[in-house]
Amino acid sequence: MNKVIDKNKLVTLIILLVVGITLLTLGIIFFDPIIEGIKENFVSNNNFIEVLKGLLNTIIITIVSFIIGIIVGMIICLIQGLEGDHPLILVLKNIAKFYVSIFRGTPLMVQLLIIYFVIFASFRGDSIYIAIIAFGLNSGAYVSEILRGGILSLPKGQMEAGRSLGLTYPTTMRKIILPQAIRNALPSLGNEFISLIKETSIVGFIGAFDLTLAFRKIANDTFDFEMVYIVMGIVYFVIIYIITVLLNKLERRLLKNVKTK
Amino acid sequence: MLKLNNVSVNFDNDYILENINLEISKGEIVCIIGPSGSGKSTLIRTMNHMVVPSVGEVIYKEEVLTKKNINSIREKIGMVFQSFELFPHLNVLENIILAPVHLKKMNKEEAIEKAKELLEKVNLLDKIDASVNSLSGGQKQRIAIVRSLIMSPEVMLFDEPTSALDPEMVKEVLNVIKDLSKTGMTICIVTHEMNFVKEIATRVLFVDQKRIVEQGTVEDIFVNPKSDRLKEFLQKI
Repeated sequence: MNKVIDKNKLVTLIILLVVGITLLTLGIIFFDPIIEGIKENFVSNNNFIEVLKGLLNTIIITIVSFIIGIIVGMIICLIQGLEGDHPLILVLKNIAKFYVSIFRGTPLMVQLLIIYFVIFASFRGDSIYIAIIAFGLNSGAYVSEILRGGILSLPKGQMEAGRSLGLTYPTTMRKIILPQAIRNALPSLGNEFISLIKETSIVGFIGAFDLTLAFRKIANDTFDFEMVYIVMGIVYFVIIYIITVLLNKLERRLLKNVKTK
Repeated sequence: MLKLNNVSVNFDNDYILENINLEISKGEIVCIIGPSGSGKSTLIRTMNHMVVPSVGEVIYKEEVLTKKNINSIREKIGMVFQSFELFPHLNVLENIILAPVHLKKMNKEEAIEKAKELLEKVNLLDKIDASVNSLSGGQKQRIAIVRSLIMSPEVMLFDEPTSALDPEMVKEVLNVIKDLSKTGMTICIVTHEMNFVKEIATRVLFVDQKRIVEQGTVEDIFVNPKSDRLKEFLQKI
Protein backbone atom coordinates (compact mmCIF):
# COMPACT_ATOMS: atom_id res chain seq x y z
CA MET A 1 0.00 0.00 0.00
CA ASN A 2 2.74 2.40 1.07
CA LYS A 3 4.87 1.51 -1.91
CA VAL A 4 2.07 2.37 -4.33
CA ILE A 5 1.66 5.79 -2.74
CA ASP A 6 5.41 6.35 -2.88
CA LYS A 7 5.46 5.50 -6.59
CA ASN A 8 2.62 7.92 -7.24
CA LYS A 9 4.45 10.61 -5.35
CA LEU A 10 7.60 9.95 -7.30
CA VAL A 11 5.77 10.20 -10.61
CA THR A 12 4.14 13.50 -9.55
CA LEU A 13 7.52 14.82 -8.49
CA ILE A 14 9.14 13.89 -11.78
CA ILE A 15 6.30 15.46 -13.77
CA LEU A 16 6.58 18.63 -11.71
CA LEU A 17 10.35 18.73 -12.22
CA VAL A 18 10.04 18.24 -15.97
CA VAL A 19 7.36 20.90 -16.24
CA GLY A 20 9.38 23.23 -14.04
CA ILE A 21 12.57 22.82 -16.03
CA THR A 22 10.69 23.27 -19.31
CA LEU A 23 9.02 26.45 -18.07
CA LEU A 24 12.32 27.77 -16.78
CA THR A 25 14.02 27.08 -20.12
CA LEU A 26 11.14 28.68 -21.99
CA GLY A 27 11.33 31.57 -19.57
CA ILE A 28 15.03 32.07 -20.17
CA ILE A 29 14.58 31.92 -23.95
CA PHE A 30 11.34 33.82 -24.46
CA PHE A 31 10.84 35.91 -21.37
CA ASP A 32 14.18 37.54 -21.00
CA PRO A 33 12.54 40.77 -19.80
CA ILE A 34 11.23 38.95 -16.72
CA ILE A 35 14.67 37.67 -15.83
CA GLU A 36 16.07 41.11 -16.42
CA GLY A 37 13.35 42.57 -14.22
CA ILE A 38 14.10 40.18 -11.42
CA LYS A 39 17.79 41.00 -11.69
CA GLU A 40 17.03 44.69 -11.71
CA ASN A 41 14.63 44.60 -8.79
CA PHE A 42 16.01 41.98 -6.48
CA VAL A 43 19.63 41.16 -7.27
CA SER A 44 21.01 44.64 -7.81
CA ASN A 45 21.63 46.59 -4.65
CA ASN A 46 21.38 43.27 -2.78
CA ASN A 47 17.65 43.87 -2.54
CA PHE A 48 16.94 40.19 -1.98
CA ILE A 49 18.75 40.48 1.34
CA GLU A 50 16.22 43.11 2.33
CA VAL A 51 13.45 40.69 1.38
CA LEU A 52 15.02 37.97 3.51
CA LYS A 53 15.33 40.38 6.44
CA GLY A 54 11.68 41.32 6.05
CA LEU A 55 10.68 37.67 5.82
CA LEU A 56 12.62 36.88 8.99
CA ASN A 57 10.87 39.72 10.82
CA THR A 58 7.45 38.61 9.58
CA ILE A 59 8.14 35.11 10.88
CA ILE A 60 9.44 36.41 14.23
CA ILE A 61 6.45 38.72 14.70
CA THR A 62 4.03 35.91 13.84
CA ILE A 63 5.57 33.23 16.01
CA VAL A 64 6.25 35.36 19.09
CA SER A 65 2.86 37.05 19.01
CA PHE A 66 1.19 33.67 18.51
CA ILE A 67 2.95 32.37 21.63
CA ILE A 68 1.86 35.49 23.56
CA GLY A 69 -1.62 34.99 22.14
CA ILE A 70 -1.78 31.43 23.42
CA ILE A 71 -0.61 32.42 26.89
CA VAL A 72 -2.97 35.41 27.11
CA GLY A 73 -5.79 33.34 25.61
CA MET A 74 -5.31 30.58 28.18
CA ILE A 75 -5.29 33.05 31.07
CA ILE A 76 -8.47 34.73 29.85
CA CYS A 77 -10.08 31.39 29.25
CA LEU A 78 -9.22 30.20 32.77
CA ILE A 79 -10.59 33.43 34.27
CA GLN A 80 -13.82 33.07 32.33
CA GLY A 81 -14.24 29.55 33.64
CA LEU A 82 -13.72 30.45 37.32
CA GLU A 83 -16.46 29.39 39.65
CA GLY A 84 -17.85 31.23 42.63
CA ASP A 85 -19.19 34.66 43.48
CA HIS A 86 -16.16 36.14 45.23
CA PRO A 87 -15.97 39.87 44.28
CA LEU A 88 -12.42 39.45 42.98
CA ILE A 89 -13.56 36.67 40.67
CA LEU A 90 -16.40 38.81 39.36
CA VAL A 91 -14.04 41.73 38.72
CA LEU A 92 -11.56 39.47 36.89
CA LYS A 93 -14.33 37.94 34.83
CA ASN A 94 -15.60 41.34 33.77
CA ILE A 95 -12.12 42.49 32.85
CA ALA A 96 -11.67 39.38 30.71
CA LYS A 97 -15.01 39.93 29.03
CA PHE A 98 -14.19 43.60 28.37
CA TYR A 99 -10.77 42.65 26.99
CA VAL A 100 -12.21 40.18 24.52
CA SER A 101 -14.96 42.51 23.34
CA ILE A 102 -12.53 45.41 22.83
CA PHE A 103 -10.05 43.38 20.80
CA ARG A 104 -12.72 41.65 18.78
CA GLY A 105 -14.74 44.81 18.35
CA THR A 106 -12.16 47.07 16.70
CA PRO A 107 -10.02 46.68 13.57
CA LEU A 108 -6.54 45.33 14.17
CA MET A 109 -5.10 48.33 12.33
CA VAL A 110 -6.76 50.67 14.80
CA GLN A 111 -5.43 48.65 17.73
CA LEU A 112 -1.93 48.73 16.27
CA LEU A 113 -2.01 52.50 15.81
CA ILE A 114 -3.42 53.16 19.28
CA ILE A 115 -0.93 50.87 20.97
CA TYR A 116 1.98 52.46 19.10
CA PHE A 117 0.99 56.13 19.09
CA VAL A 118 -1.00 56.37 22.34
CA ILE A 119 -0.04 53.69 24.83
CA PHE A 120 3.64 53.43 23.89
CA ALA A 121 3.93 57.02 22.69
CA SER A 122 7.19 57.57 24.55
CA PHE A 123 8.73 54.29 23.40
CA ARG A 124 12.00 54.76 21.53
CA GLY A 125 13.05 51.23 20.57
CA ASP A 126 12.47 49.06 17.52
CA SER A 127 8.78 49.20 16.64
CA ILE A 128 8.86 45.46 15.96
CA TYR A 129 8.41 44.96 19.72
CA ILE A 130 5.27 47.07 19.70
CA ALA A 131 3.98 45.09 16.73
CA ILE A 132 4.56 41.85 18.61
CA ILE A 133 2.72 43.18 21.68
CA ALA A 134 -0.21 44.44 19.63
CA PHE A 135 -0.58 41.21 17.66
CA GLY A 136 -0.08 39.09 20.77
CA LEU A 137 -2.80 40.92 22.67
CA ASN A 138 -5.16 40.79 19.72
CA SER A 139 -4.49 37.12 19.12
CA GLY A 140 -5.05 36.44 22.83
CA ALA A 141 -8.66 37.56 22.51
CA TYR A 142 -9.28 35.22 19.59
CA VAL A 143 -7.38 32.29 21.10
CA SER A 144 -9.42 32.60 24.29
CA GLU A 145 -12.61 32.25 22.24
CA ILE A 146 -11.16 29.29 20.33
CA LEU A 147 -10.18 27.55 23.59
CA ARG A 148 -13.56 28.34 25.13
CA GLY A 149 -15.16 26.62 22.16
CA GLY A 150 -12.85 23.65 22.68
CA ILE A 151 -13.82 23.44 26.35
CA LEU A 152 -17.53 23.76 25.65
CA SER A 153 -17.27 20.88 23.19
CA LEU A 154 -16.30 18.52 26.04
CA PRO A 155 -18.96 16.72 28.05
CA LYS A 156 -19.69 18.38 31.39
CA GLY A 157 -19.03 15.09 33.12
CA GLN A 158 -15.29 15.35 32.48
CA MET A 159 -15.00 18.22 34.93
CA GLU A 160 -17.28 16.40 37.39
CA ALA A 161 -15.23 13.22 37.16
CA GLY A 162 -12.03 15.11 37.92
CA ARG A 163 -13.59 17.01 40.80
CA SER A 164 -15.21 13.87 42.24
CA LEU A 165 -11.74 12.37 42.67
CA GLY A 166 -10.80 15.27 44.93
CA LEU A 167 -8.83 17.23 42.33
CA THR A 168 -9.15 21.00 42.55
CA TYR A 169 -10.70 23.10 39.80
CA PRO A 170 -7.33 24.38 38.45
CA THR A 171 -5.81 20.89 38.51
CA THR A 172 -8.78 19.35 36.71
CA MET A 173 -8.57 22.16 34.18
CA ARG A 174 -4.85 21.66 33.60
CA LYS A 175 -4.71 17.86 33.62
CA ILE A 176 -8.04 16.87 32.13
CA ILE A 177 -9.93 19.67 30.41
CA LEU A 178 -7.26 21.76 28.66
CA PRO A 179 -5.33 18.88 27.03
CA GLN A 180 -8.56 17.73 25.40
CA ALA A 181 -9.80 21.24 24.64
CA ILE A 182 -6.54 22.17 22.92
CA ARG A 183 -6.69 19.00 20.86
CA ASN A 184 -10.23 19.88 19.78
CA ALA A 185 -9.18 23.45 19.07
CA LEU A 186 -6.12 22.49 17.02
CA PRO A 187 -7.60 23.15 13.57
CA SER A 188 -8.89 26.56 14.66
CA LEU A 189 -5.56 27.41 16.27
CA GLY A 190 -3.86 26.56 12.97
CA ASN A 191 -6.19 28.95 11.18
CA GLU A 192 -5.43 31.64 13.73
CA PHE A 193 -1.71 31.19 13.07
CA ILE A 194 -2.22 31.52 9.33
CA SER A 195 -4.37 34.62 9.64
CA LEU A 196 -1.72 36.12 11.93
CA ILE A 197 0.89 35.78 9.17
CA LYS A 198 -1.39 37.62 6.77
CA GLU A 199 -2.39 40.27 9.29
CA THR A 200 1.22 41.11 10.14
CA SER A 201 1.50 42.73 6.72
CA ILE A 202 0.20 45.98 8.26
CA VAL A 203 3.05 46.42 10.76
CA GLY A 204 4.79 48.66 8.23
CA PHE A 205 2.39 51.42 9.29
CA ILE A 206 4.25 51.78 12.57
CA GLY A 207 7.60 51.37 10.87
CA ALA A 208 8.31 47.74 11.70
CA PHE A 209 10.33 46.23 8.85
CA ASP A 210 8.45 43.17 7.64
CA LEU A 211 8.11 41.37 4.32
CA THR A 212 5.54 43.82 2.96
CA LEU A 213 7.58 46.86 3.91
CA ALA A 214 10.67 45.30 2.31
CA PHE A 215 8.86 44.95 -1.01
CA ARG A 216 7.35 48.42 -0.73
CA LYS A 217 10.79 49.92 -0.24
CA ILE A 218 12.15 48.07 -3.27
CA ALA A 219 9.20 49.17 -5.39
CA ASN A 220 9.71 52.76 -4.31
CA ASP A 221 13.38 52.51 -5.34
CA THR A 222 12.93 50.82 -8.71
CA PHE A 223 9.42 52.09 -9.59
CA ASP A 224 8.66 48.62 -10.99
CA PHE A 225 5.48 48.28 -8.90
CA GLU A 226 3.91 45.62 -11.12
CA MET A 227 6.67 43.09 -10.84
CA VAL A 228 7.63 43.75 -7.22
CA TYR A 229 4.10 43.50 -5.88
CA ILE A 230 3.28 40.39 -7.90
CA VAL A 231 6.43 38.71 -6.55
CA MET A 232 5.36 39.85 -3.06
CA GLY A 233 2.00 38.12 -3.55
CA ILE A 234 3.70 34.95 -4.75
CA VAL A 235 6.11 34.92 -1.79
CA TYR A 236 3.25 35.29 0.72
CA PHE A 237 1.24 32.59 -1.02
CA VAL A 238 4.13 30.14 -1.05
CA ILE A 239 4.93 30.71 2.64
CA ILE A 240 1.33 30.28 3.70
CA TYR A 241 0.90 27.26 1.48
CA ILE A 242 3.93 25.57 3.01
CA ILE A 243 2.75 26.34 6.54
CA THR A 244 -0.75 25.06 5.79
CA VAL A 245 0.68 21.76 4.60
CA LEU A 246 2.94 21.50 7.66
CA LEU A 247 0.06 22.31 10.03
CA ASN A 248 -2.15 19.68 8.41
CA LYS A 249 0.58 17.10 8.84
CA LEU A 250 1.14 18.09 12.46
CA GLU A 251 -2.57 17.99 13.17
CA ARG A 252 -2.99 14.57 11.64
CA ARG A 253 -0.06 13.21 13.61
CA LEU A 254 -1.27 14.62 16.92
CA LEU A 255 -4.79 13.34 16.42
CA LYS A 256 -3.57 9.94 15.30
CA ASN A 257 -1.37 9.55 18.36
CA VAL A 258 -4.32 10.12 20.62
CA LYS A 259 -6.47 7.57 18.87
CA THR A 260 -4.05 4.68 18.64
CA LYS A 261 -2.29 5.24 21.95
CA MET B 1 -21.28 8.30 58.32
CA LEU B 2 -22.97 10.44 55.71
CA LYS B 3 -25.83 12.64 56.76
CA LEU B 4 -28.15 14.96 54.86
CA ASN B 5 -29.82 17.59 57.04
CA ASN B 6 -32.88 19.32 55.60
CA VAL B 7 -31.33 19.38 52.16
CA SER B 8 -33.16 21.23 49.40
CA VAL B 9 -31.90 21.98 45.94
CA ASN B 10 -33.30 24.94 44.18
CA PHE B 11 -32.70 25.77 40.55
CA ASP B 12 -34.23 28.75 38.76
CA ASN B 13 -36.76 29.12 41.60
CA ASP B 14 -37.83 25.55 41.09
CA TYR B 15 -37.21 22.84 43.66
CA ILE B 16 -35.41 19.77 42.33
CA LEU B 17 -35.12 18.28 45.82
CA GLU B 18 -37.17 19.26 48.81
CA ASN B 19 -36.30 18.84 52.43
CA ILE B 20 -34.34 15.60 52.42
CA ASN B 21 -33.23 14.07 55.71
CA LEU B 22 -31.10 10.98 55.43
CA GLU B 23 -28.43 9.24 57.37
CA ILE B 24 -26.26 6.48 55.93
CA SER B 25 -24.29 4.38 58.40
CA LYS B 26 -21.03 2.56 57.79
CA GLY B 27 -21.41 -0.64 55.79
CA GLU B 28 -24.90 0.13 54.56
CA ILE B 29 -25.88 -0.54 50.96
CA VAL B 30 -28.48 2.06 50.14
CA CYS B 31 -30.28 1.76 46.83
CA ILE B 32 -32.25 4.69 45.47
CA ILE B 33 -35.09 3.84 43.11
CA GLY B 34 -37.82 5.93 41.55
CA PRO B 35 -39.14 7.24 38.24
CA SER B 36 -37.05 9.39 35.90
CA GLY B 37 -36.91 13.04 36.82
CA SER B 38 -37.84 12.36 40.42
CA GLY B 39 -34.58 13.78 41.79
CA LYS B 40 -32.66 10.53 42.39
CA SER B 41 -29.54 11.69 40.59
CA THR B 42 -29.65 15.10 42.22
CA LEU B 43 -29.97 13.43 45.60
CA ILE B 44 -26.89 11.27 45.16
CA ARG B 45 -24.98 14.22 43.70
CA THR B 46 -25.62 16.35 46.78
CA MET B 47 -23.83 13.72 48.88
CA ASN B 48 -20.41 14.83 47.58
CA HIS B 49 -21.49 18.37 46.69
CA MET B 50 -21.40 17.69 42.95
CA VAL B 51 -24.68 19.57 43.39
CA VAL B 52 -24.44 22.04 46.23
CA PRO B 53 -27.64 22.18 48.28
CA SER B 54 -29.40 25.56 48.31
CA VAL B 55 -30.68 24.87 51.82
CA GLY B 56 -29.46 22.46 54.46
CA GLU B 57 -26.15 20.73 54.95
CA VAL B 58 -24.33 17.53 54.14
CA ILE B 59 -22.28 16.08 56.97
CA TYR B 60 -19.54 13.53 56.46
CA LYS B 61 -18.23 12.03 59.70
CA GLU B 62 -19.13 15.06 61.86
CA GLU B 63 -17.70 17.42 59.25
CA VAL B 64 -20.04 19.77 57.40
CA LEU B 65 -19.12 19.92 53.72
CA THR B 66 -17.90 23.38 52.72
CA LYS B 67 -15.98 24.86 49.81
CA LYS B 68 -12.81 24.59 51.87
CA ASN B 69 -12.90 20.94 52.87
CA ILE B 70 -14.74 19.59 49.83
CA ASN B 71 -11.67 18.41 47.94
CA SER B 72 -10.25 16.42 50.83
CA ILE B 73 -13.65 14.92 51.63
CA ARG B 74 -14.19 13.94 47.99
CA GLU B 75 -11.03 11.84 48.24
CA LYS B 76 -12.98 9.72 50.72
CA ILE B 77 -16.18 9.56 48.66
CA GLY B 78 -15.78 7.80 45.34
CA MET B 79 -18.25 8.47 42.56
CA VAL B 80 -19.10 6.52 39.42
CA PHE B 81 -21.14 8.12 36.66
CA GLN B 82 -23.68 6.88 34.19
CA SER B 83 -21.53 7.94 31.24
CA PHE B 84 -18.23 6.58 32.73
CA GLU B 85 -16.35 9.82 32.11
CA LEU B 86 -12.97 8.23 31.65
CA PHE B 87 -10.40 10.71 30.38
CA PRO B 88 -10.01 9.89 26.67
CA HIS B 89 -6.64 11.60 26.27
CA LEU B 90 -5.05 9.23 28.80
CA ASN B 91 -4.69 5.46 28.67
CA VAL B 92 -6.21 3.10 31.22
CA LEU B 93 -3.32 3.17 33.69
CA GLU B 94 -2.95 6.96 33.45
CA ASN B 95 -6.66 7.37 34.08
CA ILE B 96 -6.38 5.34 37.25
CA ILE B 97 -3.21 6.78 38.77
CA LEU B 98 -3.75 10.45 37.87
CA ALA B 99 -5.56 11.46 41.05
CA PRO B 100 -3.63 9.45 43.67
CA VAL B 101 -0.26 10.52 42.27
CA HIS B 102 -1.25 14.13 41.84
CA LEU B 103 -2.77 14.36 45.31
CA LYS B 104 0.36 12.71 46.74
CA LYS B 105 -1.57 9.86 48.28
CA MET B 106 1.10 7.53 46.94
CA ASN B 107 4.11 7.71 44.66
CA LYS B 108 3.93 6.54 41.09
CA GLU B 109 5.32 3.04 41.68
CA GLU B 110 2.90 2.38 44.54
CA ALA B 111 0.03 3.68 42.45
CA ILE B 112 0.92 1.41 39.54
CA GLU B 113 1.14 -1.59 41.90
CA LYS B 114 -2.24 -0.75 43.44
CA ALA B 115 -3.76 -0.17 39.99
CA LYS B 116 -2.57 -3.59 38.83
CA GLU B 117 -4.02 -5.20 41.92
CA LEU B 118 -7.42 -3.56 41.40
CA LEU B 119 -7.43 -4.24 37.65
CA GLU B 120 -6.78 -7.90 38.41
CA LYS B 121 -9.87 -7.91 40.60
CA VAL B 122 -12.08 -6.60 37.82
CA ASN B 123 -10.41 -8.90 35.24
CA LEU B 124 -8.99 -6.09 33.17
CA LEU B 125 -5.28 -6.36 33.89
CA ASP B 126 -4.63 -7.07 30.21
CA LYS B 127 -6.09 -3.67 29.32
CA ILE B 128 -3.67 -1.70 31.47
CA ASP B 129 -2.00 0.04 28.50
CA ALA B 130 -5.08 0.15 26.29
CA SER B 131 -6.57 3.36 24.98
CA VAL B 132 -9.86 4.31 26.56
CA ASN B 133 -11.53 4.49 23.15
CA SER B 134 -10.80 0.83 22.46
CA LEU B 135 -12.81 -0.40 25.47
CA SER B 136 -16.41 -1.55 25.57
CA GLY B 137 -18.92 0.22 27.81
CA GLY B 138 -18.76 -2.46 30.47
CA GLN B 139 -14.97 -2.33 30.49
CA LYS B 140 -15.01 1.45 30.70
CA GLN B 141 -17.32 1.40 33.68
CA ARG B 142 -15.19 -1.18 35.49
CA ILE B 143 -12.12 1.00 34.87
CA ALA B 144 -14.07 3.98 36.23
CA ILE B 145 -14.81 1.99 39.37
CA VAL B 146 -11.13 1.13 39.74
CA ARG B 147 -10.25 4.79 39.25
CA SER B 148 -12.43 5.64 42.25
CA LEU B 149 -11.31 2.70 44.36
CA ILE B 150 -7.62 3.49 44.11
CA MET B 151 -8.26 6.50 46.34
CA SER B 152 -9.35 4.05 49.07
CA PRO B 153 -12.72 5.74 49.55
CA GLU B 154 -14.91 4.97 52.55
CA VAL B 155 -18.14 5.54 50.66
CA MET B 156 -18.90 4.78 47.01
CA LEU B 157 -21.63 6.60 45.13
CA PHE B 158 -22.98 5.06 41.92
CA ASP B 159 -25.17 7.23 39.75
CA GLU B 160 -27.02 4.83 37.41
CA PRO B 161 -23.81 2.89 36.66
CA THR B 162 -25.43 0.51 34.17
CA SER B 163 -27.97 2.73 32.42
CA ALA B 164 -25.69 3.51 29.48
CA LEU B 165 -24.61 -0.10 28.93
CA ASP B 166 -25.67 -2.75 26.45
CA PRO B 167 -27.74 -5.39 28.25
CA GLU B 168 -25.04 -8.03 28.00
CA MET B 169 -22.54 -5.80 29.77
CA VAL B 170 -24.72 -4.88 32.71
CA LYS B 171 -23.88 -8.02 34.58
CA GLU B 172 -20.10 -7.65 34.54
CA VAL B 173 -20.44 -4.21 36.14
CA LEU B 174 -23.04 -5.30 38.68
CA ASN B 175 -20.81 -8.21 39.69
CA VAL B 176 -18.00 -5.80 40.47
CA ILE B 177 -20.34 -3.72 42.62
CA LYS B 178 -21.61 -6.86 44.30
CA ASP B 179 -18.07 -7.98 45.13
CA LEU B 180 -17.44 -4.53 46.50
CA SER B 181 -20.50 -4.73 48.73
CA LYS B 182 -19.12 -7.89 50.29
CA THR B 183 -15.99 -6.06 51.45
CA GLY B 184 -17.99 -3.93 53.86
CA MET B 185 -17.81 -0.80 51.74
CA THR B 186 -20.54 1.77 52.36
CA ILE B 187 -22.40 2.11 49.08
CA CYS B 188 -25.13 4.32 47.76
CA ILE B 189 -26.46 3.52 44.31
CA VAL B 190 -29.10 4.95 42.03
CA THR B 191 -30.33 2.24 39.71
CA HIS B 192 -33.18 0.81 37.68
CA GLU B 193 -31.98 -2.78 38.08
CA MET B 194 -34.61 -3.99 40.53
CA ASN B 195 -33.35 -7.56 40.77
CA PHE B 196 -29.96 -6.22 41.69
CA VAL B 197 -31.51 -3.99 44.35
CA LYS B 198 -33.33 -6.97 45.86
CA GLU B 199 -30.08 -8.88 45.93
CA ILE B 200 -27.76 -6.43 47.63
CA ALA B 201 -29.65 -3.58 49.30
CA THR B 202 -29.70 -3.23 53.06
CA ARG B 203 -32.02 -0.28 52.64
CA VAL B 204 -34.09 0.97 49.71
CA LEU B 205 -35.19 4.56 49.22
CA PHE B 206 -38.11 5.31 46.94
CA VAL B 207 -37.78 8.83 45.61
CA ASP B 208 -40.58 10.60 43.78
CA GLN B 209 -41.64 14.20 43.30
CA LYS B 210 -38.42 15.57 44.77
CA ARG B 211 -38.83 13.76 48.09
CA ILE B 212 -38.05 10.43 49.74
CA VAL B 213 -41.54 8.95 49.69
CA GLU B 214 -40.79 5.71 51.42
CA GLN B 215 -37.80 3.79 52.72
CA GLY B 216 -37.11 0.46 54.32
CA THR B 217 -35.66 -2.98 53.76
CA VAL B 218 -36.08 -4.83 50.48
CA GLU B 219 -39.07 -6.59 51.97
CA ASP B 220 -40.68 -3.37 53.21
CA ILE B 221 -40.41 -1.79 49.79
CA PHE B 222 -41.05 -4.64 47.38
CA VAL B 223 -43.38 -6.88 49.38
CA ASN B 224 -45.23 -4.51 51.67
CA PRO B 225 -45.26 -1.11 49.99
CA LYS B 226 -47.31 1.41 51.95
CA SER B 227 -47.73 4.48 49.77
CA ASP B 228 -49.96 4.41 46.70
CA ARG B 229 -47.26 6.03 44.61
CA LEU B 230 -44.80 3.20 45.33
CA LYS B 231 -47.44 0.54 44.66
CA GLU B 232 -48.16 2.17 41.32
CA PHE B 233 -44.46 2.37 40.51
CA LEU B 234 -43.87 -1.29 41.36
CA GLN B 235 -46.79 -2.39 39.20
CA LYS B 236 -45.33 -0.67 36.18
CA ILE B 237 -41.94 -2.34 36.37
